[in-house]
Amino acid sequence: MNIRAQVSSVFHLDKCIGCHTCSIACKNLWTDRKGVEYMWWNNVETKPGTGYPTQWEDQEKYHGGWEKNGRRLQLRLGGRGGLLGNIFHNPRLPTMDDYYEPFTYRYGELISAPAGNDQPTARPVSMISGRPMEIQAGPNWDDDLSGSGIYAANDPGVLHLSPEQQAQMFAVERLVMFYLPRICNHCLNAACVAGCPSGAIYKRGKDGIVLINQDKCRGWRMCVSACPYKKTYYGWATGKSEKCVLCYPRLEAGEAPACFHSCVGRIRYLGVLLYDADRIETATMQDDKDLVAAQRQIILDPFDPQVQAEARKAGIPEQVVEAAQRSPVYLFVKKWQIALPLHPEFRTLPMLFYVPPLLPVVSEEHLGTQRLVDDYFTTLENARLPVQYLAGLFAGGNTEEIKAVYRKLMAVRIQRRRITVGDVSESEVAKARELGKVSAEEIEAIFRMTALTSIKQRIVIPPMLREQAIEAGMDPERYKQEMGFGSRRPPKRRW
Amino acid sequence: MRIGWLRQVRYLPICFLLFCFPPSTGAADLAAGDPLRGQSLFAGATPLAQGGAPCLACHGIAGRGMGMAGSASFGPDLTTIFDDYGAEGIAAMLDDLAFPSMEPIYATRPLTVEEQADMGAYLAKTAGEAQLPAGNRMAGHVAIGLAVITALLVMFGRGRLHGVRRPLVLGLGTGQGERR
Repeated sequence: MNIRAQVSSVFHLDKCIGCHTCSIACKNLWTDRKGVEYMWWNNVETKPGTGYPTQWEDQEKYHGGWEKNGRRLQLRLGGRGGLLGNIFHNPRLPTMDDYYEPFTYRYGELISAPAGNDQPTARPVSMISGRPMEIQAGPNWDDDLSGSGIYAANDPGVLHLSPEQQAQMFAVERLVMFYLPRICNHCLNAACVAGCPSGAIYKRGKDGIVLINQDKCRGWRMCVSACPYKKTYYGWATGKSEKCVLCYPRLEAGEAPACFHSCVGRIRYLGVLLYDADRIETATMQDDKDLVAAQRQIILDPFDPQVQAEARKAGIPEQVVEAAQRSPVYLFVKKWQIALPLHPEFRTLPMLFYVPPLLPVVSEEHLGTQRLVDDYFTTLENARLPVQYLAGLFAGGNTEEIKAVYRKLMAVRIQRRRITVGDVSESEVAKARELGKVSAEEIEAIFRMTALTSIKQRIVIPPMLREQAIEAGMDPERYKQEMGFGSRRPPKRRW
Repeated sequence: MRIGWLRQVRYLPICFLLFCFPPSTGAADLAAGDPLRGQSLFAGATPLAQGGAPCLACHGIAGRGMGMAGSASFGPDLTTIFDDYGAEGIAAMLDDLAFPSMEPIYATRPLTVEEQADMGAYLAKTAGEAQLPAGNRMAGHVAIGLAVITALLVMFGRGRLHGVRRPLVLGLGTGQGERR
């Protein structure tokens, strides 16, 4: 056993209202600079939709993530030789059009225009050429199903469905969507780390945050291709790649990452997980449909005395184990098993989990009927969002995983409905609990964690113990005097 | 032909030198030389007795058996030099080699009388043969190189990702495309 700690998160999709506040908080904090206008370390996509960059999920096109090659795992981008052969010519990069051409508006013309008969306008101009342009794409161009004939219809997940299911999803009265906020998954088996020819990307030992060393990055952009989630971006002004840092300076100061802190719907949960690094290799070699279960298995119980002893042996501080015991992520992912990783079939073991959206599934079936439970569970196959679609997103195509989550979520909803509305009989609640394999107490806990928690319970930041890390390297007084004045080694490559 | 005449201007300094320093009487008898050995000396296959650099190091010549080196172009091509200066002029030059760029090399390492005779005989033999069009050959190589590079670029470029969003919007992709 080789225990390590990972700061991970859960996004509750039923609570996401698609307001993009997270994206803006992140943009203002980290990517409000020249050359990185197109970087959205946090973005919110509408599903079904093609996402950002366009069709990032389609690895037939982008060649991101891992694939099984016999008994070994190999980057889909190619082996070491292939990477070296393409080092001066990376053929699998999204083009600017697949992101978008960054633009601004000539706001000055609103007040500087000469007096005339027409209202002054602010023309859009390209932030690359400075010339007026027609805006044709953006980071959330297909927001709220706009242009669904193009974007939603070409969602790689939708394209895998049968024609009947596709037609069902796009029937006018049944049109359905939900939001998918995305940040870097800080994977356990990160493809960007494996793809980097400079060895500039690393996973921090104490908290598992994946970072790009800006001093070592040479801008080969193999990470951009290798990351199946397209969450590393090339900085055109610095010549280095950048990615979500999970706001580690904020975490080290005990504050929630900006996107978590600003989340209006309070959908974001953060906590530390203990996992067994020795089992990563076997977990990534499972068949697609077993990947979710395998990933769940390598996450360890922080209450288990044996795990605690092993963690102590591995040098994980006592405070971090305590934080792991209070981690809401552990509850969602391991205890309740209602949060699933995004696209586990990329085999990077992403450590950001999603509670799938329930709302669209129930809306049609339960209206005005007392036989809600029977109807619901016999018609899961006919839900507005096909279970196959959600299985393609969150379970490597394993519909049983999705159904298990939904049965549990439905049991929560039915039991709470009995308490707050009272139009459901106790026998129906009991039946729902039995189908969902969940106890009444557990349901109350899920309900409280979903709806009634304070930020301290939703976001449990493990102590980063910076004082210890600093003391090991230099005199803390000197550190206090010298830090905060920026990099003393400016990047050598600029253009 | 006008170009050919212009080329002769190169030899003006030689004429001037010949005028200033008339050939000594110790010049070799070219008729007695061995052109084959001259060629060998010219190309450097046989080293010069005093250790001077072989002519081919700088001069091109249209003579056969020189391969690609036949178009060396650091100094003027020597194919037709015999026609231009005649036996007497060549003999004088080979004896002295008093050109500004050659003098530092050959002042202390002059050609022996026998070498002068062989070299002169070789130059006499090559005279009249067509001069190599050095520039054209170079242009050919550049063209071939460019063609190969272009072909490689096209070959590798075909396999790269050419935009994902635009084909969707234009309706060329897998989905339904824009409805008009």
